[in-house]
Amino acid sequence: MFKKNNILFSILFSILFNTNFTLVTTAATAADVDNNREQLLNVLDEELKEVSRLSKHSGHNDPNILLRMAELYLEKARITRDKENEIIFKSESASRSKVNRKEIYKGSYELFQKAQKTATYIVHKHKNFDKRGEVYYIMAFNAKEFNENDKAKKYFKLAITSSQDGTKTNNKANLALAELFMNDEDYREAKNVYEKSLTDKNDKWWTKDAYNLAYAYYKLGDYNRSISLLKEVFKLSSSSAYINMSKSVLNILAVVCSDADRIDEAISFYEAQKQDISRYLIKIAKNIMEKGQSTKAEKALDNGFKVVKSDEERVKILILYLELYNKFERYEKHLDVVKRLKDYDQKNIVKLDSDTIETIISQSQKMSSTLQKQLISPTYAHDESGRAQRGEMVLEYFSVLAYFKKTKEYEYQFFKAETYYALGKYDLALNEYIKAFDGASEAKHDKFKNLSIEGIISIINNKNFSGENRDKYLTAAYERYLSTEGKSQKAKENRNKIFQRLYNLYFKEKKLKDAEALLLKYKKEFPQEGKVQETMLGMLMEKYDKEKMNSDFMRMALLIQNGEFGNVSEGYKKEVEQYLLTLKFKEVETHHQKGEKDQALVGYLKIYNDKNNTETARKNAAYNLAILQHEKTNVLESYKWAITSSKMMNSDEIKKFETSFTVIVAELFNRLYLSEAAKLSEHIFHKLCFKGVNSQKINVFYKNAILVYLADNRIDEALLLVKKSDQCNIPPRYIKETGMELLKSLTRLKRYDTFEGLIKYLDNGSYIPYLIKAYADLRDAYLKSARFDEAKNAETKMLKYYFDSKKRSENIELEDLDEIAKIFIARLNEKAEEFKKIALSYPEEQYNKTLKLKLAKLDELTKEGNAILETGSGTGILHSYKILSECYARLANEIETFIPPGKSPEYIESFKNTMTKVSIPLKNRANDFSRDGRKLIMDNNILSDNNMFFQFTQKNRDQNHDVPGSYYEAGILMDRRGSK
Amino acid sequence: MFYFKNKLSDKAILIIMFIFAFTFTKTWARSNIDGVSELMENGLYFSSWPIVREDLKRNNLRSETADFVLSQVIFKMGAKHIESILSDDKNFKTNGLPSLKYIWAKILFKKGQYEAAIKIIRSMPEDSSIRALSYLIEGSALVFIDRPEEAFDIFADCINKSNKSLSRAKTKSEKRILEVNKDYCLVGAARILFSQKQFVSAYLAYLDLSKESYIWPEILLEEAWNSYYLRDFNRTLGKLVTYHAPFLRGVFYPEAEVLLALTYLRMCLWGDVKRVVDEFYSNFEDSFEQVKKYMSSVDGNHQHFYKLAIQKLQGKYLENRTLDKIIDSIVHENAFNEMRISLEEGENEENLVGNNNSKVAAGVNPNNIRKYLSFSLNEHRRLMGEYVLDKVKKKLKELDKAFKDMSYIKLEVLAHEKKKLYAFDERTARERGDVKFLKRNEKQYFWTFNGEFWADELGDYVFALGSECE
Repeated sequence: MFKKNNILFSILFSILFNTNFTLVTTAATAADVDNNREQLLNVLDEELKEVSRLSKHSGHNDPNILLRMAELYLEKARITRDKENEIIFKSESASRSKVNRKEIYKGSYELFQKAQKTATYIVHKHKNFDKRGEVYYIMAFNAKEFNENDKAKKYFKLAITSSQDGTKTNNKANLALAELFMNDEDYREAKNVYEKSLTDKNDKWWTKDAYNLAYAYYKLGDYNRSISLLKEVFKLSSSSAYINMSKSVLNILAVVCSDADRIDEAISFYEAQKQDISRYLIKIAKNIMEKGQSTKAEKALDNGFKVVKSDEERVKILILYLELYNKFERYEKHLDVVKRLKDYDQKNIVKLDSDTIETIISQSQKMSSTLQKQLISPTYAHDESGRAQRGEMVLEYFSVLAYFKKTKEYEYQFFKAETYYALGKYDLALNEYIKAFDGASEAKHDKFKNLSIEGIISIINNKNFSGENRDKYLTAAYERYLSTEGKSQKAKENRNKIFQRLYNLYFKEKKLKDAEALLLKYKKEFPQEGKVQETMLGMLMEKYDKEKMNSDFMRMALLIQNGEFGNVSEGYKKEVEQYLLTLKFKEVETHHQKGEKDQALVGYLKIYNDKNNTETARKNAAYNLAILQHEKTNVLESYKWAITSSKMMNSDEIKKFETSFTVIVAELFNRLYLSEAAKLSEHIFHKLCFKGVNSQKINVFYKNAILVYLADNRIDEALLLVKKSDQCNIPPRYIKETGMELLKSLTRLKRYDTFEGLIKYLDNGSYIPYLIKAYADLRDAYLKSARFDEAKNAETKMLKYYFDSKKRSENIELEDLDEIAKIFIARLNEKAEEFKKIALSYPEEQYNKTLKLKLAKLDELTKEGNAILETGSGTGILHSYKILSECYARLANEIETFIPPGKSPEYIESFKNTMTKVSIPLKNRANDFSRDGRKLIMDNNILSDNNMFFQFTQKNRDQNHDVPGSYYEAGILMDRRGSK
Repeated sequence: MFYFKNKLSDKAILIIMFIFAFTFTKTWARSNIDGVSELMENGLYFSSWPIVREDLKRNNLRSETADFVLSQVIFKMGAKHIESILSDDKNFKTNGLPSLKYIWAKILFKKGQYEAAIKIIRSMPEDSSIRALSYLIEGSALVFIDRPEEAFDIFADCINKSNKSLSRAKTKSEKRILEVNKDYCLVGAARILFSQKQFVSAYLAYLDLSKESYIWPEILLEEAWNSYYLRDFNRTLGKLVTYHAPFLRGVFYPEAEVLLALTYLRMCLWGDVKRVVDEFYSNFEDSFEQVKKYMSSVDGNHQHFYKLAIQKLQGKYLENRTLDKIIDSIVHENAFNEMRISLEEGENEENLVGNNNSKVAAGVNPNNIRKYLSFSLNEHRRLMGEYVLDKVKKKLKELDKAFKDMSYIKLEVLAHEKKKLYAFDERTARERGDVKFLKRNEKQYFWTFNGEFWADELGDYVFALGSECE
């Protein structure tokens, strides 16, 4: 009843045909796009569901509905494809190639297949379907999706033939086909199709298709039409009703205009559109350049350059100039552009991007390389100005390259140097070599470093190298040269020379510090070159001195002092030292001389405390302090400084000042600073105890030290000193003296082990008779320890020394003699005992025998006594006299008192009378001995235990002393005054 | 009520009925239309029909009395009884009885032979009792042959004639038929105006139809369409929402749902469109498929459909939602109600036959009356079943079409959604529903809708939704 169904129908089918699917996103995020896509897919699924329903209702026999279904499948397939593409794009580029594209594109592929299947079904099943055109259209698009362009074309053509002209399907198929022709660059066919199909200017895609047509016109050489259409497309693109192709137009119009020789028109157009003209001019220029029309291209760029307003645009055009001049090898102009670009960058007017910089670098390298070759080629060998010009250009290129390749600046500096060298500008070349060297060193690029050095050397050695800056360059050159290593002999020789040359240069330039540093380096590298070092040192020290650079002078002097310059001559060292010392002491000594002791003290103290001063100076200062303090009677201070200074002195120096030290020691001793005196003495002694020193006073220090130690009961220290005596050439006298003292001390302290050791030490087997007493003491100690053998040995030693002395007619000390005498006395005593043991006995034969024996014994006794007598030991002699006297007297007495037993009185009387002849001489002899003994005592003032025997054994009628001798067995007579 | 105890095919029933008829014709060989008229005067319409039928078939009915009888059959039993006989008999074209002419014109109209139908109707005498009914056919035919001005007049005559006939009508069914006829003539003018796109005039013309009219529920849909074309979408929605009133629950017009979806579509209320469509599918799609399958097994079984109708009248819910809805709507239709009322009245004749034998016409065996009655009642039931089946098929077609329409509408919506997504534009949400979107005319008042359906307000509801089209 109502025609509402028609209305519905028209509504519904107005939505069926929509083959241009464009997802337009503005500032949407990826998430928005994804979301949108998902929603679209959902909508499409709903659509498919509805269409499937409809199809089912119609028994799947309605081709319109099937067509719609195919379209939906196609639409869904394309959106799914978008989604799948994004999955690929979102994956890491590295893993992109490994992606299973088949799997990823499975979804869209199936949908395309469904669309294709549905469409194929329609055309087969409904051969008379009036919309077969649309079906073929779908099939064509499917084929396009699978890049089956030939198939796509075939189906588009079928779509065209199956649809009426002017219908949407027909138009769209035509346009799609035209696009395929465009892709195949079959512009004629594309043009034909576009011209036929571009009828509906109200279609929003008109601009896009018209653009293609314009492009086809261009490609076919129909520039006028192309330009006109492009402008129209541009105009319509401003409306939201059309697809905006303005950018594409802008991009291509320039090129078309340039081909059509209508560049001005293009410029006007872009200006009118307030576009970045430079960008399009670049296009124009590139286009012209590709055709090899350099002049035209240049002109286009010139025009553009005039027109552009901003520096950025100018730079873009300059870059194009670069390309142009590079291509056509216009060196001067190319260089000019390069320099201008560099200026822009350097002055921060426009910062060039990395691509531009890369272009500049590569082109500059190429250009400079070409120019360099020209420079050295025979062609320009006689063309000075040509060479000069090329050289300049090369240098400028290198400057530019150095700027842009800052990390490789040194390379270009080297190349510049080479260029300057080729041009004979050695000073400039040297300067560049130096820069290159520095840069290469910093970059640790040994190759260029070495090359630069070689360059430097070649210039240095070049006779033609001259110029006012020569020295300045030379200095830098030498410095660089020396900073490298040279292992070969030749290199070493060179280096040696250059060290010296540089040194001289430094002096010339008054760079003393540099000179000093160089000197030290030289010394390290050429330690054996003492003479050179000495010369250098001399120059330097002199300069320091002249310039009153005292601290610097001192520093150097110190180095010399410390042996840093080991190979300079000793003379020089001494000279320096002396001078140093002189310097140091000059002022102070003035005070000293004036008697300003305190000031002098301060001065010396200052010198000493200044660690920068040489050892010598300080040593001298310390010594002087010791002297000064001594003079000021500050004994301990004097001691302190004496010790200090003596520690700093060597043996020869000690020897030199030994007298002073002796005085100080004496003062110490006098002031009872025994320990200090001993220490100082010992210290000095040790110092002097060196072979070759030959000190006169060493003995003094030796003896003083020992004696003081002994006095201080520091036996061991004394002992050490004694033991060192033979190393120090101490005369035997001193050794003996001190040894004896030490022995005494040891004896006193009963340190017999040490005593024994000392004796053994002292007894070096040579003639040391003064040890007799010591051995006697040792013997006694052995005896006390029941070490009889050792005691015997000791006694043997004693006797040996005694007899040796006798042989040599040497004097032996009384106490030594006494000891020897004691030995003899012991023997005497022994013999006396033996004598005493022999008793006269009768019979007569026996009597005679024993008497004879006794007399013989007595004779032995007497010999023994004589031996003792020979010793000269008073106490010994006395003792022997006593024994002898006693024995003689005893025998006399025994004879006198012997009554032969069993004999008659007559016999006895006769016997007695006869014996009286024997006894009386014996008695007299005894008396002689007594008398001699007495006389000995009186003459020699001998005090011994036997004195009493001689003085009181019988009345001494000569003296009229009447003292009962029995009271005192051992004693001496003294008068009241204490005299004997 | 007589029911066939065994399920016999319609053909068998016809044979049996034919046998009866044959038997009866032997009996009736000598009966006349006067006797039938007498029977009818006694209120025995159904009982007399077989007799009339026989004469009709023999083309024996030529008198005024015969015309009267036939008109009574039309009014009391429905024209279908006669139509079913005349549809194949070309001889009756020459019979000059107005009633038969009416029937014949109806048949021709249904066949689309409008001019022929008009010609026949115009040959009917004006004073014919059936003339009022023929005006409707004439007017409608004139519309179809694009002679609306004449149709206007005819419809006006139809209304007059129907009113006059109503004053003379005796039975309920007759009155009903005449009222319905009058109302259809009344809306005929509105329909003409609608077809002439004079939607405003049509709108006003529709308002002349009383809401108490039997045909008002179906006219409501036309009104809704009219409002739709007037772009008064809110009013359209208001009218359509009336179908949700409990009073009209039995009414089922798939087209109304389509119109509803379409209206939302026009208002760019995509969400509502989809909702209506999805609900429609959700409610009917599955059950519709089941019904289609079911129909293949019960197609032609009028008895079955008669039974279904009766079950529905008794308030039973048929398991298949779609079928339930369809049957429910059919049994609420005016035509079916007329048939139902006729049947009720026919069944009441049993009492008359039993109670008053003396009133039976001379020459008519009272026992045969019962047989005739039984025959007529069965025939009527068969016709009812046929009607229901026929209507079910039509409804199913309507539904089928509605599904398609709904799909297309939804596709329209999806196309819009897609367009938006392709444009990737965001719309700002707008508030929905505002009184300012309401349009009124002088025949309407504005009431705010508070969720209740008042009878006098039915059809006047207007939505206050703003279009969301841009």
